[in-house]
Amino acid sequence: MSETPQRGSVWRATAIWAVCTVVGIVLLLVLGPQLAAWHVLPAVASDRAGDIDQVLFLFTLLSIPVFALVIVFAGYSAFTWGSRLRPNAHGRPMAVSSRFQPIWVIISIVLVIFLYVYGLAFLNNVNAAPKGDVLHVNVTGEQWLWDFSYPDSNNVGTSQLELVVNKPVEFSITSIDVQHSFWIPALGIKQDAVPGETTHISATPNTIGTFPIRCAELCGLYHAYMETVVHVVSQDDFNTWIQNQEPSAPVMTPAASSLTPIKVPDMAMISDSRRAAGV
Amino acid sequence: MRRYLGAFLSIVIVAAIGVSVVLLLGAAAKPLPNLNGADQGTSDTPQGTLKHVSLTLQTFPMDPYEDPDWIASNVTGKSDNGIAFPSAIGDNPDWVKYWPTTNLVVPAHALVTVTIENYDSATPLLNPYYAVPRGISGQLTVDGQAMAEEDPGAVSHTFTIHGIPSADQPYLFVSVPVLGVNSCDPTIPPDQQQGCIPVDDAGMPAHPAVTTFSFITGAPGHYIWQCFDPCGSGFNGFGGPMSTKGYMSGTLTVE
Amino acid sequence: MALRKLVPSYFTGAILGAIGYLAGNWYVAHFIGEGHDEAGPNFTEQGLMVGFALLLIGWLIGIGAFKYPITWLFGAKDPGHDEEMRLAGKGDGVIRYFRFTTDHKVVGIQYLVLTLIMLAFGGLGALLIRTELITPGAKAFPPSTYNTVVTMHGMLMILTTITFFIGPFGNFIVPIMIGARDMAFPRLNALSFALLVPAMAIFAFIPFLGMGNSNGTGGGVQTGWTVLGPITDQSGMGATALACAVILAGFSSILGAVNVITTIIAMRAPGMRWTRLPMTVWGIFGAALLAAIGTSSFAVDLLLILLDRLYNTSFFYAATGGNSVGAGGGNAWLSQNLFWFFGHPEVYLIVLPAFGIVLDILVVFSRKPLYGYKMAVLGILGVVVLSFLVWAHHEFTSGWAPELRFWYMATTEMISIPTGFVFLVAIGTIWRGRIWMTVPMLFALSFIWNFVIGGITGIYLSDVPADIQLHGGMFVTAHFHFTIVGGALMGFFAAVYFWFPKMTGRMMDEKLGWISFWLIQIGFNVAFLSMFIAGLQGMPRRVADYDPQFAGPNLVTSLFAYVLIAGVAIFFYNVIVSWVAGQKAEANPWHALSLEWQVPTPVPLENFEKIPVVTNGPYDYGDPAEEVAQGSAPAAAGGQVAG
Repeated sequence: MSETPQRGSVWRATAIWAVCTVVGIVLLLVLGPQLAAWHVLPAVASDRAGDIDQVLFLFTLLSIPVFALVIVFAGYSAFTWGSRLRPNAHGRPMAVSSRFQPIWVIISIVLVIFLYVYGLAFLNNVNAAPKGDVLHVNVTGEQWLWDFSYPDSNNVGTSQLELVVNKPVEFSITSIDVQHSFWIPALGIKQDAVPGETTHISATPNTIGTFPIRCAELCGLYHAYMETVVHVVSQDDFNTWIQNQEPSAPVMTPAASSLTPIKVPDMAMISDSRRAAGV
Repeated sequence: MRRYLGAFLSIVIVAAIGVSVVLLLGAAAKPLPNLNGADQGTSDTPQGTLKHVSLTLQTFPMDPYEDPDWIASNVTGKSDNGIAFPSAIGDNPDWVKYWPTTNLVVPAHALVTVTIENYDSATPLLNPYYAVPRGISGQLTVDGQAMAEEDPGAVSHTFTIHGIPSADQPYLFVSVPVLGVNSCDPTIPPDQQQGCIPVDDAGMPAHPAVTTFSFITGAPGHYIWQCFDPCGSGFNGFGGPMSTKGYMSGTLTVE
Repeated sequence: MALRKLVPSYFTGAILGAIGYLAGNWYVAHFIGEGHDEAGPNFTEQGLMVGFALLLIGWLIGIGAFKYPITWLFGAKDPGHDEEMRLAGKGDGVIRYFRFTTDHKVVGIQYLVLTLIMLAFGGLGALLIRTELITPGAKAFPPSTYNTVVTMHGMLMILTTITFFIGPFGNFIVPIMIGARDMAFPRLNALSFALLVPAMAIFAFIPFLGMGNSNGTGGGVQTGWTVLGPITDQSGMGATALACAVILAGFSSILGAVNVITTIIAMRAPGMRWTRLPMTVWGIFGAALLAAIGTSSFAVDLLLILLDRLYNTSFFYAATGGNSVGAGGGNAWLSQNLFWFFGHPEVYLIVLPAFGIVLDILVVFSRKPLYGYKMAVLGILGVVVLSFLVWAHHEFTSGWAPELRFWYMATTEMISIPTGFVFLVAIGTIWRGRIWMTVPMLFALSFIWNFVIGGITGIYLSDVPADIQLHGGMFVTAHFHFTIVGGALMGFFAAVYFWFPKMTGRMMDEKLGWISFWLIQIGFNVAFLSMFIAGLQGMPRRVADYDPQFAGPNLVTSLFAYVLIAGVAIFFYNVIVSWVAGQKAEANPWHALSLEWQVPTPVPLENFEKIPVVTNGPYDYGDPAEEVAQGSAPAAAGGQVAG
């Protein structure tokens, strides 16, 4: 076996990896707090959204060395030993070290277990039922808007959501047609609106302001416009506002006259039959 | 050298295919004229004295230019919206449409009174939510008569404004049902028909159902409005005109 | 005489298929249904269904697929070797590529051409999507057209990517790699391709069922490729065509997978032990296992959707009210589970062959043995097993079984461990190699970069709290494009550049390869890294229009997506020009050791004069003097002959 000495060494690559990792982490520490101000991350207006930012931060922190490891060693190989011409020699076979592979396996298992336990801690928050004085809001997704009602306040209905700052809110979400997904980025919550089922999610808004509500599940024609806003206000403002609202119009109760469910015609005939009839 | 030319040409060909498909699929998305709110002075509202403007729109089940009689009696000289009637409409004359345009422009912090003259008959609403007027100021009137809500089966279209939530503009939500014309069925002899509005040979009713309502605008912003009644084509009635600007979908600019 | 040879062929199949479709339509329009006058002759649900069924039957009759089973039913003897060779296209010249031909190499080329065409149309969809999103305001097309384009792009690309390894390379390369004369079931092989063609023909109906402005008849398909039950039930007629096309393509995929599995298990040459299989074979084997098990679940989902749409059953009509139609009482989560039980294994089915192919290419161009063969195999098999246990991570926000979220979070994060094995093997293989920077090597190296990004962002999404924020947003779109485009598609490009000389007898142009590689890699990375930002900002997926605050990242994504598409255009130009007039290739231009390079180019019918006896692994690089080609193929100069 012709033992041609090759340039490059594992230590040099390791040094590059260390530098890249440190630079990456410093960049993250410097830029991370600015991201919300630059609108790269949505505004944080609830405990839940704060949790999510922490998770994203930690995951990014841990992935910097992992990403750098793979890229630096692969890139170092390519740049150091790469050639446009066909090499006339062969690379030296590398024996599978009896130590290195187990180390790699153990490190990846430890990383995964750490991330999992960390995730479980936050999952606990997600699953926890809200405590204390809770504001209940029923959310109905329908093509293509969000309809809100307040069961604690005489079922007042509205198309814009009002929440009280620092008061936990529990959403009971359903849909009357197809699947939608109720998403308030600033509160860090997302829950599908599933026809025929009621799903729940809760959060405690902690910042007064107006934030967007979006639909995150393709729900047909105007999915892109299935958006509204949430106003997070003080308790006093909320009381004033809710007293000025009228009880929800009884549109959802089939008991009202002429609101019997519409029998949909034979499916094959739906297409164009109305238009063609000159209607 | 030839291979680089070929590579360049392949990019050009792909770009040409892309452009032509975009043009083909977006054929109806040609620029539409703006309809500006007509000045009506000022008006007292719950939010104080505001500027008052009006908009008048028509809805047609088909291209009215298919009906020369109707044009002679109705269109001639009718341009009180500030823009003249177009001489012909779109690529799809049989599509249901708002007329004369769907790009609406109104001032900020103003009372906007909208009059919709509907020549189309009813298409039952699938979702009765839209049978109730929402987000309007004052009352909805149909042919001068105030309505709290309409029968979902008698509704022909809706006029629904959506806000696009962003930090730059206030949210605006207005949804109004537009009552259909109870037009006569031409296949039934006239003496057996009661209380319906006669239609001419082309199917255009003699007079429209007129829906009027007002809403109040906030700070400047850009909004989308659509009809949410499945009056279009397709499996569920939401095809074709329903999402096409210039037909049953449009923009509202508050400036 | 020449015309005589065209019967039967794909041309007669196309003619009979078209006649079948028209006849079915005509029958429905005149004898069944009441709505036919109003909706136009072609476009009723029943007309489409009956038309598609007759299209398939007409096509199969036209290509002669029924000839053998029918003659067998009537007592004909099993065909002898000569008859089999005639069926494999012996002495037929170019015409054999347009026929129901059983030769695995012909089927491989047919698959390659078809998947390239599918890829081109899917790419056109991407071009349209990015054109719509270049600025806010939905200026290019209305939302119904946009949603239909999104659905078609997604579904077509999925069908392309699940086919483009198992199809061309699983058929052409794998049998030679393992030292077999053909696939285990040559007729099934021809049939699996022959089913994909009518599937694509049916898929091509979708744009004519209400996508554009000039044709509002159908209402488009507003579902996205996930075809969730309730939205698909109420979607336009395109959804019927979509369901039929995908069920058919699913059958094609299952048949192909069964064939590949059997071939790899049963047809290996003497001495080709499991521990001597090249990684490509392992990757395709894993993918075929996933395809055979997972695809049926999707077919069931689509079948239930068709029943809902055509017969008013109520599997997924979950509610009565709003715009929903049908009787109600169904369950939307059922559809989601059926779909994702296929949908998640499916992404690994796309990427596993890429793992294998990339490792093989890294070995060949590092001129060094694979580092840790067993670890790589373990990684691939680990992914196969785990991938069936993770599907509900797509339902973290759906409200279905929230108490199981901890479990799916655990399995999902576990899958990063076997994936990590593959990366360790890849780095160990190129470390201190004699790296030959060819175009396939470039694509293989870019796979490492892209897939690490895709994998790491996948871990973000496996974490429930983070997923609650990021799910259904552009972050997810960017993540899976990094795995599927950055991973699988880069692997596909690498594989095409690598095996093109063997498959066509000509080299691909290297200069054009370098240009297209850099356009693709830079365009892709900038476009989708910037899409991550839009996702973090809170932009939902699949929207025709968006809040102006997302305008910056979307503009960047669109512009660099054009760069990516320009690169892909050059790739296509390179394929065409090299196939027609490329430099002639030697039998083993890369000086690789695995079996497929030891046979002459063009590969003769039946591949090997004498079945080789394999005495060593495919990766015995090290010292030039001892370089040992695998097996003992007849024409292999320097191959170690044994047995």
